Amino acid sequence: MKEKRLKLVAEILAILVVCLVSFVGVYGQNTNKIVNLVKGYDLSKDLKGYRELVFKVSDATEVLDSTGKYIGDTDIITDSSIERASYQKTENKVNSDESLTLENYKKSKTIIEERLKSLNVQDYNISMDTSNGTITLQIPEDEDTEHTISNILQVAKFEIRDSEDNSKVYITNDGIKKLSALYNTTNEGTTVYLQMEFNKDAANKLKELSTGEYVTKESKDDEEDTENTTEEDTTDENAVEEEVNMTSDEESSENNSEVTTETEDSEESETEEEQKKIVIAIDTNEMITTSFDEPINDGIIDLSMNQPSNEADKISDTLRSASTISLLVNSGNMPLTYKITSNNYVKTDITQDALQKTLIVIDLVVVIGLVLFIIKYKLRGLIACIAYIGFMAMDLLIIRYTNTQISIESLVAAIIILAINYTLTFRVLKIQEQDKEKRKLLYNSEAKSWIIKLLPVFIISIIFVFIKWAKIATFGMFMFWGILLSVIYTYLLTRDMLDK
Amino acid sequence: MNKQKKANIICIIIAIVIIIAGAIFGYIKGFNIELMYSNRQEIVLTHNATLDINKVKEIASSVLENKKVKVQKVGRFENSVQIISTEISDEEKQNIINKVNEEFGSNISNDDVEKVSIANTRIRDIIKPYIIPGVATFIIILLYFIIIYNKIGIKAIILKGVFIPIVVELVYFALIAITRLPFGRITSSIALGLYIVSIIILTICFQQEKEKLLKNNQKEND
Repeated sequence: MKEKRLKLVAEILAILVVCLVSFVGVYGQNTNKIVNLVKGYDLSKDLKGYRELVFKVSDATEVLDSTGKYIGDTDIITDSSIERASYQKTENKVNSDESLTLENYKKSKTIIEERLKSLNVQDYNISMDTSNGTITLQIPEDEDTEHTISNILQVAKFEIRDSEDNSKVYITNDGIKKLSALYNTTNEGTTVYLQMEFNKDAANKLKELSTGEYVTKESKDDEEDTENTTEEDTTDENAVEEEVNMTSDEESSENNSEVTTETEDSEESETEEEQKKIVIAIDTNEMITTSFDEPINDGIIDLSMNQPSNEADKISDTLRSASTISLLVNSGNMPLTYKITSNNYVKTDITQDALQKTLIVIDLVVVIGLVLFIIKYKLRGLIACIAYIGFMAMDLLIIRYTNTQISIESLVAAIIILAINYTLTFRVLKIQEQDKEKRKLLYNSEAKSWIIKLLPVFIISIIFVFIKWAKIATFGMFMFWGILLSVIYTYLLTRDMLDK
Repeated sequence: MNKQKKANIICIIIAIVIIIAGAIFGYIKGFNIELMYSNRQEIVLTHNATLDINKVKEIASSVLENKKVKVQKVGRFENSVQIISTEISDEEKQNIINKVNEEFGSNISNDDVEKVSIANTRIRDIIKPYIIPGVATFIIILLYFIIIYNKIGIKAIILKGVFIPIVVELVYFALIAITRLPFGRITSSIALGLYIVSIIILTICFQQEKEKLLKNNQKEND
C-alpha cells in the first residue's frame, strides 16, 4: 500500500514537472539574456501575420536596345537607365489591348496558384477583380517569401530560336512536355542539369535542327517561294557563348564532361556551319547560344547549369534555381505581364488579447468539467484532474517539438482532443467503481472499444497530415498526436494513478 | 413507434426546416462574408513614431460609421497601420488622415496615401482546398464502415454514413446564413471540426449497434 502511494506521489510530481516545463518554461542564459529554452509555438499565417501583395496588369511599354532588340519594359527599366544606356522606349505595350480579356485574367490567376503550389506555399488566399484583372494575394511570411514573390509573376516565355534572327522561333512553351532539375555526380564533382523534355512535334523539330535537316527544308521552302533571303552577318553581342554540355539524354549518361565550345576543330566547324545555331531563352534571359554536336533523337536536352563542383551550398543554390526555372516553365507562360503595386507585411488582426480570451473560455469549460470530476468522485476525481492537466501539458509539448503549426483549424482540433481525453478519463473513473477483479477485464474491453471508435478519425488525421494545405495538415497533425497521446496516456498513466 | 424513433423523426424534420430556411436566406441575402474575404478598400498610414492601433481604430470607426472596419499593424515596426473597410471615399480618407495627424502630431499627406481596392475572395475558393481531402476521407471511412460493420446491414451503413455528416454540415452552413454570422476564417475550421465529430458519433453508433447485435445473437444461441 505504501509503495503504491509513493508511486502515486512520484507520478504526481512528474506531472507537475511536465506542467511547469510546458506552461511556464525552462529559463536559462543565452547570450547575456534569460530566455525560455523550451521550444516556442509555430503560429500560422492567420495567427501571426502575412504578406499582402497586389498585382496589377502592367501598362508598361517595351524597351529596346540600340540594335532594336527587346530587353525589358518600362516597369523594370527606369527612365534614367534608358537614357544612360541609350535604349529606346517604344509605344508597344507589353500587354496589348486585345489581350486584356477575362479569359487571360483567369488563366493568369490559375498559373499563379499553380506556381504557389509548386513553390510549396501551403497557405494562401487569392482574389481577383474580374473587371481589370487585379490580383490580391496573401501568403505566409517566412524565409522563402521573397523567393516566392520574385518568381510567381515571371512570364516564363520559353523559346528556342535562331541565334541570328530573333523572329525565327522554333520551339515555344507549347512544345515542352516537362522541365526538371537533375544532378549527376562524377569524380570531378556534381553537375546540375536542367532537363528539357519535348513533345512529339517539338522533338521532331529538334531532331531536324540537330541533324541539319531543318536548314535544308527551310532553304527548299525559300526556293519554292522564290524569295531572296540574305543572311545577316551580325551576331548578337549580348548572347553569351557559354561553356555548356548539351547532349542527348543517352549521351549525357555516357560522357557528361563533353563540352561544346566555340573553338572546335576546323572539321567540326564545317559541320556546324551547316547546322543552326540556336538560342534557348526564358523571357529576356538568354540561357545559352549553341549548336548541336550530336543529333537529338529522343527529344530530351540536358542543359548543364554549372561546372562540376563539390561545394554543397553552390550545388544546392544551382539546384534550387534549376528547380525554379522548371516549375515556372511547367506551369505555363503567363498570358499577361503583371506588376506588384503593393507589398506589405500585415500583422494578424487576431490579437494576443482575442487569443487569450478564447483560451480563457476553453480553460473555463475544462475547469468546470474537472470540478464535476471532483464533486462526483472526490479524491479519485482530484487525481483524474491532475492526470488530465498533465495530458494537456504533455500534448502541448509534443505539438511544439513535432513542429506542428498552430492555426485556427488546429485550435478546433485541440478542443476535440480535450473532449476525447475527458471522455476517456471519465470512462476510467467509471470502471474504478467496479470490483477489483472485474476492472482488468473492463479495462481491456474498454481500451479495445475506444481504439475501434477512434480508428476512423485517426485514419482521417493521417490522410490530412499528407494534404499540402497548411490548414488541413495542421488540423491532421493536432488530431494525430492528440489521439495517439490520449489513448496511450489514459490507459497507461491515468489508469495506473487511479488504480491505487 | 418508440420514443427513440419519434425523437429521430423530429430531429430530421428540424434539420430539414433549418436547411430549407438557410437555403432561402442564402439565396436572398447571401452569406455575411467576413471583411477579409469581401470587396474592400485599404489605406496604409505610416508615421515616423509609434501609432496606437486602438486609437486609430477609434478614429477609423468614427469616420467610417455603419461600415465594417478593421485596423491592422503593417510592417515590422509599430509605425504603420492598415485601415480596411468595405468602402473608403476620398472625403473619408482625408478625414481619417486629418484626425490621425491631429491625434499623433504626424504629418501624413493625403497624396502619399494610396487607396487600394481589393476584390472579394469567392466562397468556392475558400472552400475548395477542403473539398478533395473531405471527399477522399469520407469515401475511405465509408468503405471502412462497410467492411467493419457489415453485419448491421450495408444499406443502413451507407444511408447513415452519408446522411449524418452531410446533414450536419448543411445545418451548420444554414445556421450561419440564417443568423448572419460572418462567414470567414473560423467558419471552415468549425466545419472541419463538425465533420470529425460526426464521424466519431457515427462510429460510436455503429459500434453500439454491432455490440447489440452480437449480444442478441449470443442470447439466441444460448
